[in-house]
Amino acid sequence: MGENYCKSIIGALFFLCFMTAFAQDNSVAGIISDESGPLPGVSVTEKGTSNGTVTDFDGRFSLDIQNSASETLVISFIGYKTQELPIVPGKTDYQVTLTGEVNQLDDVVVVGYGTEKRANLTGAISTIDEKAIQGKPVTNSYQALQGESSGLIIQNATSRPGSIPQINIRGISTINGNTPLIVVDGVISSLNNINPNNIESISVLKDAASAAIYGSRAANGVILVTTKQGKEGATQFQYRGSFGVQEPTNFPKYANSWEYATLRNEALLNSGMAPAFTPQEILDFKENGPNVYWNREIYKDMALQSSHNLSMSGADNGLNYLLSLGYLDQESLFKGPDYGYKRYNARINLSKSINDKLTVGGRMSFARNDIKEHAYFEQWIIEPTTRIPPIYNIVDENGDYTLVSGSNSNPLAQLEQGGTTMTQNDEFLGNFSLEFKPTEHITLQGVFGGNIVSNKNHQFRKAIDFVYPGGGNNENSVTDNYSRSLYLNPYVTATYDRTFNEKHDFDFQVGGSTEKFKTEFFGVTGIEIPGNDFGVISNAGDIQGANGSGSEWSIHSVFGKIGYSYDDRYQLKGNIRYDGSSRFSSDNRWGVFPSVSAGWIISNEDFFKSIEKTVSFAKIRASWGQLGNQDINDLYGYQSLVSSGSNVYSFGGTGVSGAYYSVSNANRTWETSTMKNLGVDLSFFERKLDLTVEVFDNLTEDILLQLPVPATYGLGQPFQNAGSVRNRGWEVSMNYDFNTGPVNHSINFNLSDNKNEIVDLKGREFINGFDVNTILREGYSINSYYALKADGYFNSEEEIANSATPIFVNDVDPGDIRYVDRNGDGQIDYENDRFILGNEFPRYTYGATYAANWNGFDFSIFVQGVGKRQQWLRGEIVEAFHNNNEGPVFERHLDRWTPENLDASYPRLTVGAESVNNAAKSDFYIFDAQYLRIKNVQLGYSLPKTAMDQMGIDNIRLYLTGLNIATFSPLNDIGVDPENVGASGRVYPVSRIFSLGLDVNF
Amino acid sequence: MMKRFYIYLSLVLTLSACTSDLDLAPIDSQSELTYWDTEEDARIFLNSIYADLENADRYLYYSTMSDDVYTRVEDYRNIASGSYGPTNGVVTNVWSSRYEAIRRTNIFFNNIDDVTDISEELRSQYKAQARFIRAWHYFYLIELYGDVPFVTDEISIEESLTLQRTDRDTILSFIYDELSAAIADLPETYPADQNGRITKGAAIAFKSRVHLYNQDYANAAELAQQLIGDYSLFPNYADLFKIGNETADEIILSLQYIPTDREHNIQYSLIPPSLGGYANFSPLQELVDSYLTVNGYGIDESMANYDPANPYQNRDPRLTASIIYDEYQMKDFAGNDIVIDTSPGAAPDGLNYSSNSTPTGYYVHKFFDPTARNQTLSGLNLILIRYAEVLLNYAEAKIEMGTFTQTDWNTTIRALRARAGLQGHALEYPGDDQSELRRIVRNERRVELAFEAGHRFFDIRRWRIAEDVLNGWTHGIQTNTSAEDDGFIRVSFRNFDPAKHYVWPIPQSEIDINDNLTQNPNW
Repeated sequence: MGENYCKSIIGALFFLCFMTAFAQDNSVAGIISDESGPLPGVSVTEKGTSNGTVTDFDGRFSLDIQNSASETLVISFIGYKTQELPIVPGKTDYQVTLTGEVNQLDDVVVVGYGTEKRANLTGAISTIDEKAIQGKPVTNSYQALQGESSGLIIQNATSRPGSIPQINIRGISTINGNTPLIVVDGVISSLNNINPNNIESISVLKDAASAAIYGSRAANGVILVTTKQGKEGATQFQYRGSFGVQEPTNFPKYANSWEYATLRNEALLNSGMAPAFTPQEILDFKENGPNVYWNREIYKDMALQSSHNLSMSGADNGLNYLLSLGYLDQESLFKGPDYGYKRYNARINLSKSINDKLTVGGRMSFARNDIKEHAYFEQWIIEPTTRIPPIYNIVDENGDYTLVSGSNSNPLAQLEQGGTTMTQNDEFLGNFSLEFKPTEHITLQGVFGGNIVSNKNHQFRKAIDFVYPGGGNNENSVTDNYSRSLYLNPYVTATYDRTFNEKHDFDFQVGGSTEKFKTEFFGVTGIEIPGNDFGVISNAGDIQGANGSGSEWSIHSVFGKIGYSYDDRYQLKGNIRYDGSSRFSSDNRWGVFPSVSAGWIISNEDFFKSIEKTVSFAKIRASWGQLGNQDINDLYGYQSLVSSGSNVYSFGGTGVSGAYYSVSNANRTWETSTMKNLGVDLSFFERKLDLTVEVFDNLTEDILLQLPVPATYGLGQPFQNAGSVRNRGWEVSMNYDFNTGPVNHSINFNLSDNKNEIVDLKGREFINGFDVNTILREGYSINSYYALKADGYFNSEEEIANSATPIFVNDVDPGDIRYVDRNGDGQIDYENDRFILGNEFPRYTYGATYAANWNGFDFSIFVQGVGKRQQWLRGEIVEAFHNNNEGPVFERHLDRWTPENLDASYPRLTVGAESVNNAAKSDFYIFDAQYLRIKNVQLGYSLPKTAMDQMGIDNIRLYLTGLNIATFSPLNDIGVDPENVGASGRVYPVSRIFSLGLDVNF
Repeated sequence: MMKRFYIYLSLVLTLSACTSDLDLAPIDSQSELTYWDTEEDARIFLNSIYADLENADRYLYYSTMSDDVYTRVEDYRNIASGSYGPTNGVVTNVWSSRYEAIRRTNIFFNNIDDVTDISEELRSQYKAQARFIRAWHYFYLIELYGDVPFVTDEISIEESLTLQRTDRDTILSFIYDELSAAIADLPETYPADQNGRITKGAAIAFKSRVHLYNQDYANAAELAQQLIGDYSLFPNYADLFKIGNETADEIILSLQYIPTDREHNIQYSLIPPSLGGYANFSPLQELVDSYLTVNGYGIDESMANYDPANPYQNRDPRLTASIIYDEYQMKDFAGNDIVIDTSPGAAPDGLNYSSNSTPTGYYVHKFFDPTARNQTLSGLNLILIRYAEVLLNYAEAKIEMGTFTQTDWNTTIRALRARAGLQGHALEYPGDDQSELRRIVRNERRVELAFEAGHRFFDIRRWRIAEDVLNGWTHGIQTNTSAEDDGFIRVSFRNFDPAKHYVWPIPQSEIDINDNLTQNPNW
């Protein structure tokens, strides 16, 4: 059809314009729509008069201008930003696209066990709407939220298929479980497997006042997720799909072969050993290579990623429905047989109003994860690729895998021939709800929700047959692990809500909730699979180990809240929750967690009217509250348990079992966080500019810590209520919408910081870690780095003779790192000379979005970053010839100290014991990990509505999108992603993704 | 209206009260309070105590801190070269694993008397085994660290935070008392299915060792003498370390391993890359040179039939039994004859060919288990105490007392040399010159017990010769690439300060949290 069809439409349009232009010249007409189509019922008025009309079902209006002096049309509709347009008499082709009012204060915000008008909020709550998620080529919902809300800190250190980022609200208040509570449609759950396309809105509850209703579960904040449901009207179909490519980012830059060989010789000579390469060999490397960068050899240059989502929704006759299907396919960047991640999502959301008193609802979702991976430990696949120098081929000229540089295996062989691990996770979430309103003011709600998760993991590690002698990995094995968990969370609430004398809003709620979780695990490993094929457990020649375990926990809670609001000006709220946890002994089990909050909408006061034009809304909020935390992994640790293990020893050639005591602490009890929050909400220029500022002060007491205990105690570290930690910080978020001519712009910005400080540790301090030391000390942040401080290099023997040198080094030479002798005792030792040197928790986290749309085109760029963070890195990712290995040598090692290059960025090169001085734990290896990332850029085009009306399509949007477009960070030099967590850098890289997307509504 | 609300409210609260219990019993383990009940409980707990005796890696790697072996493993290498301090991983882990093990024995002693369903004989036998093991741990602690905290009860965390160090001699006399008590209660043998348990002989031999280490030669000799004649030497030295001979009469106590179910992988550090190894444990030229010629002379002695061009011929056969050298002939895992080429740069096993090949020119053949799974996972027992050591303890004690006779020679060193296959002069009584005998017994101990249980490491410390043998360059084979050191390749430079290095530092992590712990001198 195509061309003729379009031509006839254009022709018809011209004709229509021509006709209408002749018809009336004192009238105007046009179509008003939003991004999903024509909008009926929009009010169009002549400014300064009462003359107006509303749009019809197709969004069309026409209006006779009554006052010829009028210059402006006002177009307004609830939930949308009001627009004003110049009146052009006789213009009948107004095409107006209304945009939803972001951050508007009249909208409804989902809060714990209910909803509330934004203007009435007294706690610190940020909301994220579906726009923030739409179009980002993410593989899970967390990635989409990064940088979108102040105080919400998400760290995404790897793009490994199926991996889940770290998530945190307002900093680290405890050592245990800093992950916020996630509530999906009222039921405690997770976001891991939620289809991002199903999310309608997200509320982030950050202070005690807003989170207290979740009491014991809320000390790390709460994320409330609401999934979409049908909207009143005819059935809507929606398709969203994207197709793109991923490429790996962040690799260390290697010195090439001849540079490597030169530096290797230098290091050997510096260490009193003979050089390894002759000048001829080095020349040969220079001319003929090879230059094989192993860490690139195990990854593909690109991998595909696609997703398809289809939904059907609507509401009719009291029945509200949404059905959705989703599919995600993310290929792995690892070479090998089709590694990757596939997720299948299905969701049904239903609710039915039986009559005006009773509503029944149900929401169910099913997610299936299929992850296909290699069968080896990822760190040990990556580690050799980082350290093996480029003089070796990874496969030889015959295509055989090499065994070089101290490896009895080959990482590429492990990926390509070492077998696979198949992980299949099924997650079923469901909730059934009953809402009964016996009278106008009383609502009773009962919800029975929960989830069932089963994880199945099948690993078939194949024997690898190396051509070269001495190859390891020559035994195959099969491992099957299966776990299943059941989580139930029924709750009931009764709410009383009434307005007296039009000015006194009063609400009261009580409720009770129970949570119960049980998980069971079974695993078995077998070896000697004949033929290296058909890897199932029954083919195993020998069962090597079988084990099973299980655990459960439960929490009971009773809660209540009360709220009073006077004349939309003064608000007062109180919450209380009483929680009991199975993680504590019966004497220490129950905790009471109260909160109070108040708000004052200043802009509703009479005296404010004079500046209403400039400051359209102003509110001050304050809250105080306490929350409990009991989320420790050690479920039964209030009592000492004796667990048994098989084959701990043997007698007479037969394995025997053993028994082991667990660590315990009968006295442990709730951590309590006391949170104070002060917030100001301001809107300017008729709500074009919104600004929210929050300051908070959270003090967590009785923090449950696995404090280091002396080894002489002889057992591990039990959880103890050990001290208190304070997090103080502030958050600013800002939204500004404006137009330049026909272009609508919006700018969105948030910035937050929090500073963590150990307030009380009962006068003790604790040093943790082996390769990397961290300290818990009063007055400093949790897990601050603790190391020697480097102070340049020794340039001469005289300098060495006159300086403190480490007691653990027998010979320091010029070119070695000099350390600061903190206590001035003439020697460097860890006991007395270490400093506190920052930590790896991000500070000054920010996100900024600029979006614009014009005539069907839309563009947005989203930038996100961290202003301050340190990262201690160790091992082959930073040290040349780490641990006496043959490599690595990176480009940055070329600037090493030599007698001719005193101003070097790296000390003299050494191997073996000669490296002990420079490999000491010092801030030489603590790097600045701040970053700014262009996280997402989107460019879209929505086809003109007029063209689609005829096809019965409401909206088509085509867009190009990219994720992790560019990253600016000092860590780029090292070749480690700035969000990296952990010191070794042995992780699957972060991917850059470019994708083409299509949204269709019909 | 409000009344109705109260009705609903009470309904809500009733519903929320009908909840499950918060007292959840563990699904997969039992409470300490109900554990100590039957003989089986006591026996199973004792099994875990046995597992603490020593781990295989440490068993092997002690030797890397002596003049016998070079390792690339950072923490051991740094101790060997004197570049270490109180945060060294080995220094820290040896300490913590011993104290963890000591607590397990203390738990055992606090509860064993509550077990009702056990015969008194078995109860005292179990206690005697635990006494031996607790004494064993303290022996290692005082040898390595000097004065250490002395814990014989299940202490609380608070108590552990204020512990002080106890005088070494106090702990030593505790070790003696505990071993005497153990000797009294231990049986001489066990049924075959209990092989591997601590016998009376093991306790006597160990007590003899402790006395010898502490220069109490009379008791050392007396205890060793009690065992002479009770045990016998296995006829073939090389085969003593094979999986089929784990119950040989010579073996008094060994760490028990079994294929598949409980294995160690020390072999990975020992064998050449061509067999799947990674040379993390490389014998030094200094050790190789200490092997006599087959007729009993040092290689630098004029009577030696030693040919520098064929340095491994006509040598003490224990050299071939223990060390893989260039042109070494052996069988691979499939039973095929192979020759190991360790010459410089030869692929894949040659000297410094790659970072998994030997930096000294040597690999290790002792402990080689051709039945190992995946080339490296072996079920071979590792010998902690054997009769040969008892004989050497006896000989050394007698020599130090100046009462060593030709009969003693014949029972001890001559017997060991004859068993090994030495001949002629090697078997002749060298006379009663004490310093000559001392030199002989020390060298004999070095080669006979090479790589086993850290003997050499402890010996050079107790003989106070570490500053002589752990200073300067260590070497590998002669490559003649440099004129230094007669062309023997330099491997690593070592430094031993006698004012400091004879005891390890107290781990920094312990001092960091316990102000009452003092550091050793000069650390």
